[in-house]
Amino acid sequence: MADVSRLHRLHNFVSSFRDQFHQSHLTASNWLREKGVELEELRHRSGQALATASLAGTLALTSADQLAAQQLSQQPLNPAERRELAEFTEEEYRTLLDKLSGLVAMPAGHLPSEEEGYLEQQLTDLLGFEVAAELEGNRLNHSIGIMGGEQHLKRFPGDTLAKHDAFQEAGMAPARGAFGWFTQNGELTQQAIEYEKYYLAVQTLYLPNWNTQYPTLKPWYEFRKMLVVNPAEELAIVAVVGDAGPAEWVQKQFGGSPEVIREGKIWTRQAKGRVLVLFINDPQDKVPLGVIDLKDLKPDFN
Amino acid sequence: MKSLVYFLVNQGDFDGGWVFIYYDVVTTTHTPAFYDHLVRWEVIDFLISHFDEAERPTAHQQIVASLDYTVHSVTLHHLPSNSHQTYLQLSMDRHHDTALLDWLEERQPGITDHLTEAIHRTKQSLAEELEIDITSWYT
Repeated sequence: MADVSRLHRLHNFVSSFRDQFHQSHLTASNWLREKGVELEELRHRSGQALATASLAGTLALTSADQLAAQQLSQQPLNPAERRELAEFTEEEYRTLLDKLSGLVAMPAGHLPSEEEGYLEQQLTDLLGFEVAAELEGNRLNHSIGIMGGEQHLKRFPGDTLAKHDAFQEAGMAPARGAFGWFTQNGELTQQAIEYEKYYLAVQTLYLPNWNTQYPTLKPWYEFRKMLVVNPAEELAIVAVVGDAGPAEWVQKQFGGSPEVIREGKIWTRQAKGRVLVLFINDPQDKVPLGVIDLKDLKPDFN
Repeated sequence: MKSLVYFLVNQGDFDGGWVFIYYDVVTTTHTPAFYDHLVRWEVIDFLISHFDEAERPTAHQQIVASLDYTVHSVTLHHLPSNSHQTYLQLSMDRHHDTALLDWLEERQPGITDHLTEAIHRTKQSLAEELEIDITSWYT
């Protein structure tokens, strides 16, 4: 009962704020009423009206040449190319997967410092692209933890669930992601579609330097490419940071889009949501988004 | 705000059976606002952790609403009245955009400090109202 009364007290507390606002700022209050908007709705309705305009003018123009170069650089590496790059033995592969399975079962946090560098190198060798828990001085609060299922995110103002081609049962979040619309120059490009399909929510809002270095950290994390390793299912997923969360009290450290959760088999009986999440150092944007079957990368001794 | 949702889905490609997938973050992803980086969210989470699990989404929504009222109230108090309507219109359209804080700072230098202080005071008032000790967060 104590908790029920606490919630009532919270409701009363917010009501007093609401009343005080309307009394102290009558003109603003009337203006909002004329628009049919409650002040506390602003957070959720923001951005719905303006499709492409940006107050900060942050939408950079990309020339046709730049776009073409970008598309070329996005040609994926196939498993054979990756295998060629990997210098890995069967025994090393099994040792690495067993090691990772044990580590992701530990409480949320980071890889043991004495093993972090070694495991990063092993994964880099296996995958054929560079992964790291810390990149350009940035590190999340957790690299191992539990990943919860997110909903679809709105890619552009007016986006609906019906326009998403898979896993509609997951629903769609009421607002856009913390890093903005997925569209590029107001257009729903193939890359924008891929970004929403394979997005992660990471707890940027709890980073110790977030409040002070927000202006530089937000663009750094926006659509930053990351690797999710699900050792129990021997799968990895290349995804981008598309949202902030989950809240700490949920006791999960990461969120994954419906595609990440389902295609990455994050919540099988074996996996139980336990993952390793690392940055991908991919300045030329060569690593394609999506699922990697680690078994395909195993050395073939036949 | 939506409630916690479970989906019974066919996981044929996993184990050949049906399992529940728990879409809990429906309630917890963060709808951004222009002033979010002024808030110490871990203190908000600490406050929310004192509610029953089923009440937390509502508590989260209510606490965020109290912060919204605080921020808009303080802003309108400090901002020249001839900028109020523009501010409200920008809040309707760009409430998530941190550039809105830059816009405010240009018109009322120092407003960020006022907002930071007001957010802190609101958290303390909330904690007092809810009889939750948050002093350890600030010592």
